[in-house]
Amino acid sequence: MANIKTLAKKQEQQVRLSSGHSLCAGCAEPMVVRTVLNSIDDPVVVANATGCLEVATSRYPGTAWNVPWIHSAFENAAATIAGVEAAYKGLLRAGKLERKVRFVAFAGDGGTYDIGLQALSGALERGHDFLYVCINNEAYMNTGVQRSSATPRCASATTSPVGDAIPGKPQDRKDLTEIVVAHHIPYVAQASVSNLIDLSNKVERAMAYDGPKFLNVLTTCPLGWRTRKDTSIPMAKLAVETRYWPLYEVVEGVYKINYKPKKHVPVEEWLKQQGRFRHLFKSPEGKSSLEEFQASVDENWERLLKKEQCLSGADAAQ
Amino acid sequence: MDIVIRIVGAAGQGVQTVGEVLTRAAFHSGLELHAEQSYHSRIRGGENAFALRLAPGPAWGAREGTEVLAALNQEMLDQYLPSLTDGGWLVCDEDLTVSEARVVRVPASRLAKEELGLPIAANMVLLGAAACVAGIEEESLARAVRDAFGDKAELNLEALALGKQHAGDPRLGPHSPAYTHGERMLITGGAAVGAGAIAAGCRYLASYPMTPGTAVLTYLAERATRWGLVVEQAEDEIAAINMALGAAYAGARAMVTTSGGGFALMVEGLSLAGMIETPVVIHIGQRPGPATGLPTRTGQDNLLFALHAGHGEFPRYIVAPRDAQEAFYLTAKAFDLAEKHQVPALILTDQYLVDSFSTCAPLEVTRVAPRSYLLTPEELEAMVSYDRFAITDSGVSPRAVPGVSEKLVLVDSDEHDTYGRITEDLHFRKALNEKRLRKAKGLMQDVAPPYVHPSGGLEGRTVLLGWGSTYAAIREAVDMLNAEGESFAMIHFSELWPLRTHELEQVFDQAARMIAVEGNATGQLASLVAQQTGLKVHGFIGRHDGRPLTAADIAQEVAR
Repeated sequence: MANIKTLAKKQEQQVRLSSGHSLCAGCAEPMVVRTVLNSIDDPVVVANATGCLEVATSRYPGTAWNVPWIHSAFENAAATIAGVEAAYKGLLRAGKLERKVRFVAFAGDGGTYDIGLQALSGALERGHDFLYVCINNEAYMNTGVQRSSATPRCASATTSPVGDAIPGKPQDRKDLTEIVVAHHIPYVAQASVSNLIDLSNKVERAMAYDGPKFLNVLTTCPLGWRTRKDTSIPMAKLAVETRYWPLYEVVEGVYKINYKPKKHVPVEEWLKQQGRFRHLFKSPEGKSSLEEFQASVDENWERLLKKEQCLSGADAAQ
Repeated sequence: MDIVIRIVGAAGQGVQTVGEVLTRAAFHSGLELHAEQSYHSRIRGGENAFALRLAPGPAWGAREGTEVLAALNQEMLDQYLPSLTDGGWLVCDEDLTVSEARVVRVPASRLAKEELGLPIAANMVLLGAAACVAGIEEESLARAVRDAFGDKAELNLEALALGKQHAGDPRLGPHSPAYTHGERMLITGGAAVGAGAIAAGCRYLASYPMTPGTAVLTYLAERATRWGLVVEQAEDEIAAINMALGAAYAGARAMVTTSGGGFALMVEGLSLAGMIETPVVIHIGQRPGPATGLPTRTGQDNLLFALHAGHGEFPRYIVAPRDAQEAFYLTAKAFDLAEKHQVPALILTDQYLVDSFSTCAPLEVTRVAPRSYLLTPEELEAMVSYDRFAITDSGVSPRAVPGVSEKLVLVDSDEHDTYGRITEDLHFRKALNEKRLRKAKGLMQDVAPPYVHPSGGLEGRTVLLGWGSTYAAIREAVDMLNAEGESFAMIHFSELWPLRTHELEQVFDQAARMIAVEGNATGQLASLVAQQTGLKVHGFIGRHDGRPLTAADIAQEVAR
């Protein structure tokens, strides 16, 4: 199990994603990438979908990657890593390789929830041995903050702008984690950049399994969320504390909520610090939207508790 | 006076905001202008440049050379300083290192922090100084700032005043106004495509974000409620074009906007549009490929792709507007011809055109008022039977909207009979295929001739052949070259398919030399012309480094 010391030590031992990239000040993405890669001891190969992470880490004259890395077109990270993994298996079988190598795909929410969903589903169903990490900042940030299907209801984005008639995005976000669970793969989890030890433990647990593994990691984007640059970690933490973003895992079909906030923090506390929700605090309609938002957070949390109860290891044993 | 004011800095420093304010100020002053934006594909850092060109007559496109360089950081200052012309001025913060003698140093960061308590306003201080040096009217600048910042304008106005104070007297100008209020408008190419779509009665846009096509998506999303449009962001481009086809089947004028990579995913849907004869308008904002290529740069490397995309043989209409004004009218025309001939219509712009501001005559909405080509419910009722794909001389079958009558509107991606039922009767296959292809003839009659300049007497001249947004650069090059006593001319295509060959043959016949000028590496229009007419150009000038062609590029290459 990881702790802050082992994480720090690994960071000293190996730099798989170096500094010097051009991700924005306050962007939490590199912390996710480093924690994930440092929680894997074997050599890794990374496939990276188009997005902030890709453009900001691979720019001439340098690259931030100290591991083999391939960027394919936007929708194909899962397909590309599947091809790499299949070739590796072929080489193993032919006796041309002996080392254990692990495969990781990184993609944003646009490249996972939207355009990459088909490729992800296909790779999960075929059962490739890889870890897919969705770095989820809830919109297309690299191209100027367009809404994605991970964007929460009411959030303002350039393609779901706030107007007189429409209070931001009219639809609920997609529950991608549960869609992945429905593929019955060995390991699925939600994590947050605010809880790096939890994230690291999840990667370690995931990598113990052969076959597809999936992590959905919430990551603050100060530009798109319109939050202060020095609050990315507290913002992500608040998403967890308000139960908006539960930390949980589904291991071979068994649900476990990794962290249950002791007190009920209203989701308003998280929303009100973000410019993308500012309009909700300015009108009477906004007030009812806030109530609906809270109700949906509560409902999702209750449903998750029930799933844990019904589909926990303890129940299964009885 | 023809001057370029170039604002350069890193992404996130407000280059675009400052540039837009300055552009609007120049517009309010009644100056003809063209403003070009170039930026790296990243949210922070990198190169960001905004070049505002002021000209005495209708402004041409972008050009090299800088008369006022406002540099926001050292890296960009060093990169752009060589572009400063004799008599040009550099404006920068006092903490930047520079040996240039003609420099106006402004303690912008210090003033913003100490005087205004707002460090972020440093770029507005610098703008105040740069605008003063360039001779931009103070009132126009203040108006542009008020428009841009609303209730936050006051501090920004103070910032401008501080900058002006430090700059001293104007070094350039004054510029005499070329027009009065209402005679000209200011618009970007992307907005012009969006406005053209609204004017043409577009009711539905489905798209997936992809630079630079996204500009049209955000433009229409912001105006959807006001103009009664449905704007949907799809999960990918495959869904986007099929959603648009669904909407068009139901009778809505439908559009998608994307770039080359996204269009690649739409290709199967394009072929479907050809088969089910359902109109759809596809805007492709070109950027250099292959693959992700240069996401925020410009190029013209999708012409042959747009023409040949889609399996099977079917007619299509392709336009490539030469500037923002034409982007408005040709977008509207694309909607009209897509409806009239029941074909897909493709609009090829590029990052340069989409992001550039220019002044133009006010767009006339009434000139492009939508005409309906659909059967009315009454007409449909009066028919004994309704065959969606009835064989006609023109190839165009009367088109009805489903659900308005008992008569069914059946469309099928499989080869079908006139009623829309799957058939493998080879007689039907041949008849239907020929019917679809016959539409190309009528379509050709609606295509306007290419632009030829000067309009007569091309004998013995060297004629430059171009298409789309390179118009301004070629036009300027021709005038530049002719001023030096050479005899040059141009032929320029905005409507590319079906390709009108008559004028081409005439020009080839008269010209001493034909040179293709394109924003690509292989000469795609030149290839198309050779394929369609058997005529080969004598030379080719291509630019494919992601930057727009300029008149100087062309004149230099021609002289070689």
